[in-house]
Amino acid sequence: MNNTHIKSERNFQIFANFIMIIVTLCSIIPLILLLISSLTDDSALIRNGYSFIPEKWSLSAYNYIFTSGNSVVHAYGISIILTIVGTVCGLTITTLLAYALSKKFLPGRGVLTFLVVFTMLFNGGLVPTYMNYSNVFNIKNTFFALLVPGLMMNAFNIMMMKSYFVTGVPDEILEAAYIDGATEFQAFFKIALPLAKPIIATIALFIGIGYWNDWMNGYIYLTKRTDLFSIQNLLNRMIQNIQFLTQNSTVASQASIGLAAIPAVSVRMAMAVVGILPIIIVYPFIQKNLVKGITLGGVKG
Amino acid sequence: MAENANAPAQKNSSAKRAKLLKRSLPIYIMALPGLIYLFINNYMPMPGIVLAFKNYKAKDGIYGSAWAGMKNFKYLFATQDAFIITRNTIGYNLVFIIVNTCFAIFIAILLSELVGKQKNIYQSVILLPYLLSAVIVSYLVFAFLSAENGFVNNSILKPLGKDPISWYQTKQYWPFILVFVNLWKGIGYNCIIYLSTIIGFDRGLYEAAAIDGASKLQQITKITLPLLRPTVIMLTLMAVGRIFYSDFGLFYQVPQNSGALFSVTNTIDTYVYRGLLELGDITMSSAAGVYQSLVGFILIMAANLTVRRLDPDSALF
Amino acid sequence: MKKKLMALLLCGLMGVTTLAGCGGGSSSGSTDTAPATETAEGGEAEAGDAAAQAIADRKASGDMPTVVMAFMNFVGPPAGMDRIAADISAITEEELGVKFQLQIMDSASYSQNMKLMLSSGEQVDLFNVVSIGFMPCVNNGYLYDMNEDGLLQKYGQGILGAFREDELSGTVVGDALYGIPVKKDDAAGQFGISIPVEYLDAIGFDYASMYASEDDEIIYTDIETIDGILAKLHEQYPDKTTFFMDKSSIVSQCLVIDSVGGDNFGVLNDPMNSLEVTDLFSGEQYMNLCRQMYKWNQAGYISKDAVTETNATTTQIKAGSLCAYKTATKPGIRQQESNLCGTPVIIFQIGPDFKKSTAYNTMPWAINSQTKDPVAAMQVLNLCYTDERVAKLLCWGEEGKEYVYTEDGHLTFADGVDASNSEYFQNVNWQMPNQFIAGAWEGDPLNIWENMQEFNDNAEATKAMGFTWDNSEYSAEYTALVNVYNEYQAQLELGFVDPDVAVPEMLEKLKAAGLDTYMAAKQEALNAWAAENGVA
Repeated sequence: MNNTHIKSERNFQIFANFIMIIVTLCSIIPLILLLISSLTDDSALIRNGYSFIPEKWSLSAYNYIFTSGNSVVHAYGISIILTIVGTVCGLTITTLLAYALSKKFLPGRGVLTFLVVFTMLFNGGLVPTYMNYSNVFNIKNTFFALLVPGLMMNAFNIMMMKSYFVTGVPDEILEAAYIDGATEFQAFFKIALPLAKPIIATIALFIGIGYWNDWMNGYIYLTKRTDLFSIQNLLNRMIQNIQFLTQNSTVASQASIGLAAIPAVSVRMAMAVVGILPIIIVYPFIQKNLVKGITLGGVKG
Repeated sequence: MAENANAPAQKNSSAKRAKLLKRSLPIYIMALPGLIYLFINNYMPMPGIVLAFKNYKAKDGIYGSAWAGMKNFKYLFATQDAFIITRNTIGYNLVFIIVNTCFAIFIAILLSELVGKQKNIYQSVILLPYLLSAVIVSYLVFAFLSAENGFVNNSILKPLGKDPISWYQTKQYWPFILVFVNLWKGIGYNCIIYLSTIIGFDRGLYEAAAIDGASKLQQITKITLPLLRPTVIMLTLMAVGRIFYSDFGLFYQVPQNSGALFSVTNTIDTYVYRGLLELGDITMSSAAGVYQSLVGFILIMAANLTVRRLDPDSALF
Repeated sequence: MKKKLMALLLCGLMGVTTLAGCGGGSSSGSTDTAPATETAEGGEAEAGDAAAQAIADRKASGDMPTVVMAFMNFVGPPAGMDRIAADISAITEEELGVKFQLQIMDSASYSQNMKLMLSSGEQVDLFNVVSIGFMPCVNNGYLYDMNEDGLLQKYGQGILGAFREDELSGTVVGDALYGIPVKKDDAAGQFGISIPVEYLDAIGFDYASMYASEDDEIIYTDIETIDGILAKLHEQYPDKTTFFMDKSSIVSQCLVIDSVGGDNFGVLNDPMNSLEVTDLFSGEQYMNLCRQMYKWNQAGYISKDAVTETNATTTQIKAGSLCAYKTATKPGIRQQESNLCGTPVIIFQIGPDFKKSTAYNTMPWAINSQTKDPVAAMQVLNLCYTDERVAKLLCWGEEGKEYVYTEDGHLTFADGVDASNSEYFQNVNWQMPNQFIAGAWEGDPLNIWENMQEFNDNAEATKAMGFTWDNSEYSAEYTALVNVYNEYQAQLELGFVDPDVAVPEMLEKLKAAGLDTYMAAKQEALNAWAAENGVA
């Protein structure tokens, strides 16, 4: 009995590892290609297409990116600051609101939840949103333009977190705390938050990725302050301009001049590589929290 | 709506009401920053929806411009492509919901059950594609599918003695390619939410089951999956609300806007984009958004109502 | 109504031309002095008074308004933007009593950002409508009517002097004048082919004897000759792509058709002779082009990946993967393409030099309809067209910092500066109000702008010159048509499908999408326009 159990466990581990290795390979092979093409000589890239074994290696793309004339290092700094500040702010208000919505006794809970979900479906559109932020709040060409619009909180994250609070943080434990004389705030900080660590780590990751990947805010709100560009702003500007020039027929006769002014394919690839590096550094910390959740989860039952 | 859960507290006793208020007040305070943000970010611009019904003139502003009735919506329906783009949008979304959910749960379960350090590596690596922008993804897809230099043609089909395929001109493969690319890009992200939910489950249940001699498979089907149900339902409900939207990057960039593929890649978003690229009409793009939102709203309300009948705890609101 | 406007314009124009008569052309003469103050005589005495008065008033009040000028480049605001703007501001403050600011955006975000800024009432006074589109700007009410209160008449005498009457007709809608065209190549040599010298030498092709005259930069030839060259190139370089065209501009740069109203759904297939709006796709020219491309594609001249190609043609030449490509030609083209390709090229041209009805309204300069001080905006714009110092700053940056003069009077990069590290090197001089007075860059002939003017004047012009069409009532049809055309366009025009099969198929779909309705509406508008303007 025990023997078959161990055997079944071992078989499962082999099976799971096998599947995960395949999935991981599927994910990483194109990324290796990305890395290699960023290290390929540009002419070779155009002549032979993308290749795992390039005809000619070249560091020129990274050279271009990290030379002093380019603001890549600076943009990197902006991206990091933005992501940290945004994640902290976003996580705070999301967690608080989600916790509130998870309280079954709260009068008006249904209405509030509906108001949250409604924002997932309807929005005022780009022009009114822009006018709101640029005319009413005057955040155009400031750091707040990267931080505030759209990214800080969204209905999806709130609903995910709310559902976790409802199912993963049993009411009985909280009620017991109240009986022991804890306030709502104490119950939230001492009991609910530690129990919700896995979802907090997850939502932090989601918000952080949202900030790290975003280029739309910079695209719309930063028309003068190029010194506030994040790494994604820089990369997407190049890409969008190529797109524009190859598609827009009104400037067709100027397109070739324009395209010549935009860095080559390998540079775009290199920026994409640079853009995903931090997650490799940050992710282990998130994972640590996901694991911690297990032990706490074990205790709570 | 949700008050019934606290029916006893609602009994007209004023002492109870005061107690409820005392307990609720801190909760409202907690909710406040989030609600303020929602108000600023979402509800203040919301009246701008009227733009879709306006004949916009910059001098008169959004609210001062003359009404245009439903004129701005006309282009969404006055085309023989209306059927194709609607079918593609809904069809792909349905497939995405099913495929992504199944794979995400599958991977999440594997990751949660795995022991050893290597699972951290798996988890990090499968998240990486999510961080690439659609255009970069389109370059990578092109590297595999290019007719002249693509890996599939040169390194797979050629050694097998098969004819090369002009992928970007052959539409029958694209439904699979798009579903695959979507899965590839999103799997790491999608499985995290399930993973964190599974991690939150009571390990005691599993230990008890193991003592009773339940196999791993039985533990998964009898414990994990049923416990995941509310999360699956909620994520699906939210996805249903977005069913009239399509990922523009996936349907426009990844197929490289290749005309030969339109009948399987044209969605509402790409159709609108192509039309408005040179038309540049902000009221028409606003109209498209309102149309998509409205359909999503109706569907999500209907789906939520159904869920509330069957399983009140899993309903969104 | 429109005639009245034209009479007014003409009246102003005559005054200026008599004035400029001795200066020998409006664009080449040095006009360092403020034009607004110099024209206070003859026909526009009143106008000159008004302009001078406005300047005097501003200076007296000590309250200088600021004019913000917006345009696009390809990489976003350059590092030197504010410095150049300050330099220009010094000039405008002195000449006009107006402060000046620049707002430069990259091409991809320009259209959207401008729409947002114009809609939200942010300050932009002057802007180029390129990429936002002229008619969309008119429809959304973004543009100020420069005829209102005789704004152009009173404060834009220098502009009137820089253009012929018909050049300003392309931006007139109804009674209103919504923009001032850019001084640039208004015509385009249709169906130019650019091939590196090195490849032509390798196949032993004698191009030297084909130039009509010694100082020509373009060889005028026919499609058969090109066909022969491509065949030899293909034989010589089987591993290279023989021929490629940027897919977005095939019809517009190869065919002598006028896409009246700015799209290909209903065109003038015989633009020099007839105002009949006909269908492009069943016309001879389009069919012949598609058949030719189909033939070349079948012969293997075109890359299998042509439809999805995103590298610029010149980049491909540089990388050594391409032998020949299509380009529109103009004076200076050989130098331009040689620079871009990094190797000398020979330019062939199959079609004529041709000027479309959209020549003057693809990228005119406009005044924001919500501008606070239209007079100041107009006067600044006027200065941009007439003041050499302003034009040079806008086009090339600051002397000594960005550019220096060579011994023979060319402009060139300052020491240690090149295209990649210059703080102001925009590649968008075609968008500047008047590059004709900003000098010639090294490599171009010193008389390039005279050549350009001549090229513009001598090119064959469509009969519908100046016609604009508001298609907003037909936006539903337009969207459907664009989607159908997009489906077939690249495949047909790069020869991936047999046009004898695919064109009728596309045509059927276009008809179902409302092509006939759309064309009829266009024809009606064109007829009305022709009647009003006395074009037969």
